Order: sequence, then C-alpha cells, then structure tokens
Amino acid sequence: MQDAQEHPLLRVSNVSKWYGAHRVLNAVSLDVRRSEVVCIIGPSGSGKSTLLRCMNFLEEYQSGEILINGRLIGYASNVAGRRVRDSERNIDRLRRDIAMVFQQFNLWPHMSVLDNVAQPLMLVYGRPKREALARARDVLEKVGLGEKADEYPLRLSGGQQQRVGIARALAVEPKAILFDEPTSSLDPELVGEVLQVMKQLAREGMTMVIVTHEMHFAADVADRVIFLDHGVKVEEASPKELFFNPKNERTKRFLETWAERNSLFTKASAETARTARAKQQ
Amino acid sequence: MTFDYSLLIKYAPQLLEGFELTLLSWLGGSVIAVVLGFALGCGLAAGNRALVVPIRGYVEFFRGTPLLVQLFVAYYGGPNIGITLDALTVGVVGLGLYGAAYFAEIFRAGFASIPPGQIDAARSFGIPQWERIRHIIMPQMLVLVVPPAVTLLIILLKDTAVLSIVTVPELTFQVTGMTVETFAFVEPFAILAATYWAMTELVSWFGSRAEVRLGAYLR
Repeated sequence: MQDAQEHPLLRVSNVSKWYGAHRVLNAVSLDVRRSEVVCIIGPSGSGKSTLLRCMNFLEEYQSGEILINGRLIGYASNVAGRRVRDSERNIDRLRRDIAMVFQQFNLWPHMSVLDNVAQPLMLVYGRPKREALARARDVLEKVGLGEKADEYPLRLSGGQQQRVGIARALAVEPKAILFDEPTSSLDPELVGEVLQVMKQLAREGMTMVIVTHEMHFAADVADRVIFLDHGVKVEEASPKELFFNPKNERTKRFLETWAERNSLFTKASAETARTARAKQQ
Repeated sequence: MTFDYSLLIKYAPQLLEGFELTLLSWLGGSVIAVVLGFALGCGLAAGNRALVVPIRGYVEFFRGTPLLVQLFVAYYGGPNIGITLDALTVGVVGLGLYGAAYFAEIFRAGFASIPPGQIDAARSFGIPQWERIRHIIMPQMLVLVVPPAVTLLIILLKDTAVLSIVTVPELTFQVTGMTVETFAFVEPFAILAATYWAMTELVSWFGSRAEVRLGAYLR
C-alpha cells in the first residue's frame, strides 16, 4: 500500500519511439497522479496519440519506461539483462488498470450495446454473465443510454456511440482512462454530450489523460496541460499558465493559430448577425 | 422429340448410387477444403514470412492448375512414385486440396476486413488473444465469408463431375455410362443438369438464410 502512495499512477519516463529513421517521440516524460486530469494538446502528427497508445502498450517504444503503479508495462529483462517484450499475459494484466476511449469509438458492431459494455467484464475479470450485464446496465444508465442497451452500435449516433465507449471503459472500474481524441470524429453538435459526460467523470475524481483539440474543454477540466510538438514535450503547465501565459514560442504560435481561426469564426458570425439586423431595419 | 421416362426408371439404381457418391465426395471434399483452407487462411493472416511463403506457393499452385490435371496426375501418376490410392480417395482429397486454396484466400480476406481499431479496443482491456479471435474476429468474419464461401461450395459441387475422369462412379460417371449403353442423350443429361441445379439452389438458399441471420447487426 505504501507503494501506491509513493508512485504516481502513471509515469512516462524518457520515452522515445522511432518509425524507421523518423523519431515520433523524443524523450517524453510526464507523471499522472491519482484523480488528476491531464490534457495533451498539439498539432496533428505531433505524437500525441502515439504517446497515449504507448501508455497501455498498444504501441511499442524503443527507449525509456512507462510505469503503471510503479510497474513497467510491456518489457522485461532477459537473462542477459537485455530488454525484451514481456509475456502477453503480463502485459494484459497491467492493461486492466488503464481503460481507453478511442477517436473512432471502436465498438464491436456485432454485439448489442449492452454486450459491448459487459464483454470485457466477462472475458477479463471472469464475472458471471448476470452480474456483468447488471453492471453494464448501471454504467449505461450513468452515461444516459439506459434505453439504448439492446440496440446495435451502428444504429446509434456518433455521440451516443462514444458514450457507449466511455461506459465500456467505466464498467471495468479502471484506475485511469485514456481518451484518444474522443470528440474529433463527431459532428459539431454531438461534441457537447460527450464532453459533458467527461466533465462529470472529472468531477467524480476519475484519473484521465485526454488527447484533445477542444481547448475550451481542456482549459475547463484539466489540472495540467501538456503541449507536444514533433514528439517533444514543449511545455507543461496549469491550463491558466499554458493558455494565457505560454512560456515557449512554439506554444504561443500554436495557440495563436488556434485563436485566429476561432476569432475569425466569431468575427464572421458577428458580421452575419449585423447584416441580418440591418436587413430587418 | 419425346422424353422417355422409362429410361430413367430403368437406370434408377445407378443414378441413385451416382447421386450418393456425388453427395459424399462433395461433402467430404468441402469439409477438407474448409478446414484446411481456414488453417491456411490463418497462416496467411498471421503474416509470418516462414508461414506465408509456403502457403502462398500452395495456393498459387492449386489455383493455377486445373482440377482435372491435378486429379489425373495424382491418380495415374501416383503409382509411379509409390502412392496408389483408390479413385474415391483421390477424388475427395483432390477436391479438398483444390478447394482449400480458394478458401484460404476467402478466410484471409475475412480476417483482413476486421478494422484494427476493434482489436486495439479489445487489447486495451487486456482481453487475451484467443478470446479476441473467438468473440470479436470470428463472428464478424463469418458474415463476410458466407457469400463467397457459398459460391465456392457450389463450384465444388459441380466440380465433383470432374471426378468421373478418375473413374469415381458418381452421377456424371453413371450418366455417361448410360448414354454409351442406350445412345440416349437428352434424358440422361437433362436429369444430370436438373440434379446439380436443384442441389446448388438448395445450397444457395441455406447460404442466404445464414447471411441474413449472421449479419443482422449490419442493418
């Protein structure tokens, strides 16, 4: 138990990853403590999703370490002391603590919504079917989809599918949930319902690591924001610091581009409103 | 022109025996083709070079040469290298090996069509590989595989006719014999065509039912 107090829930330490000669992650380090919400932002191709996928070893990396509760995931030492891929059994065991929500939802389309949520409970934790289904109903209720339990995923809207994805992650009572751009493939009017569920989770103290382009959301819920560019952690700060007083030039530029696009939008809509008013008069 | 039904009644025992053998060699060949084809398809999907190269060779050979030639070589050429098999064994196994090459491709494509994201999701929960295959890949793959598999089963059914060339006394063999003895062509070949047609219709009917039932989630 003392261990649990000492170690951060998730520790990424000096992680580097290459695709051939291309370095996608460059000595990235970060800690995630219990009940913390950490948002990772950055331009496309900056390595955000790759970093997240390394955290529960969906991706291998070449150097550095990722520790879950102080235990290295994915690698072990062989007799010669060299680092080798750990047994699938050990990897799967550590993955249990960290659930994941995906950009494309990645639900299993041939199962009902209820079965999607119950399946990991049965296959990983060996819960009896009745118990697993009851638990699945509870979490579906929590994300506001109780009445969709018996539908197939493909019949639901994107926002609903993503809420099923969140319910599926919640059902296994993970210690942390990784969100990989959870709203990026949603129609704009469906983004809100997903963010609302995530805000609720943050309030309840769920530990979350969120890769996102939703700056307002990040500013709102994050304890810390990390800006990643070209596989390098450029800046890490509280949302207030990072959004309103960024230290690094690259962070500034990134945020300015974003703000410009958004203010352009605000200006344009203000323009439309003005013309509409002028017409009325 | 008249259609002489009495001819069919006279030859009923031979036709029935032929029908039984056609059914037997089709079922036997299909079982071998599906089981072996599935194993080969898994090997192709696994992507390990040591597996893929020999399997590719197998598939290319059996798809690239006519079944007729394969059976001929096995049956008449086999004894030269010390393998003497009876006609039915050569026919059933030959049909099975031939069909397996096609099934291997069908299953490989089936595996490839499952979006990797679904597998990522299963892995992220720590669902072990075997359970992933059983609960996530197989049920979806089956749906995709049914239509081409039914077509292939129909082709194999009709290809049992080729077994007559290595003296398996199946339906086509019996009908050929009948024409030689009676010089009647219309009646024997009409019943032959009708039988194959009826059987293939039955197979495709089962196929569409399976497709509808397994693919309910897509609609």
